[in-house]
Amino acid sequence: MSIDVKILEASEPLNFNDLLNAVLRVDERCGAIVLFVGVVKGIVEGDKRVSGLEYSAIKSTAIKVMERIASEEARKYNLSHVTIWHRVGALRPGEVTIVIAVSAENRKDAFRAAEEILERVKSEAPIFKLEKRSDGEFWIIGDGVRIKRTTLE
Amino acid sequence: MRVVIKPYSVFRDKLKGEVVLEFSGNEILVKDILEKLESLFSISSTGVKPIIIINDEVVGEKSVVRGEFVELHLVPPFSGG
Repeated sequence: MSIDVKILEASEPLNFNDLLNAVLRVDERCGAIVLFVGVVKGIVEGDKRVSGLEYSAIKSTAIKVMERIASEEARKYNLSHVTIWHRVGALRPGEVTIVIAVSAENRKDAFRAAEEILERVKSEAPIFKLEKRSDGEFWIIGDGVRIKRTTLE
Repeated sequence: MRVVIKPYSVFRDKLKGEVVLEFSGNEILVKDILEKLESLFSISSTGVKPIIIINDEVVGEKSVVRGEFVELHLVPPFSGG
């Protein structure tokens, strides 16, 4: 079993060919690879145009948490490989925020594991985002609660 | 003891950056640190429940923090992904 967990700066390039080649090479007993890619939305809450998301993180803690999630989910679903890459810094609509790749013997385990890993990263890793949009800046709290920045002053 | 508070997200706006608090003795409850932050910065006015992280672990209000120098992170519920 192999694990690849990273926090990447927004300026660092993502190489999906290398990622897929690495996952494909891991274990020939695997029959399923699931790749999830999260991207910044350009429109939210109906018609609010987003100019970007700014991610921050307690990096050392976030990496440890993501490594733990990857290990636990790999054991639970008998995965051969788990990749979790999370980006931080300023990202524009359409740009990649998170990449999760898992390989498993069968598709059901691969799909379930990828979804669980994503949900756990969102709720357990200390990563935070600021949404910049046409009607102001909003801190995203937890799973989607928005607090407008100017109301805090 | 000296406690360095590193705030994130809404709490970074509220505290305006890193804050250093001094307490007598080398032992304090997390709850007491939060009360001090409340008295100085009204962190509850954000409407967001604060989470404290020390040494990569989320700690509860009843946890005891020990040492002459402690660094902690003051954060809201996480929002990665």
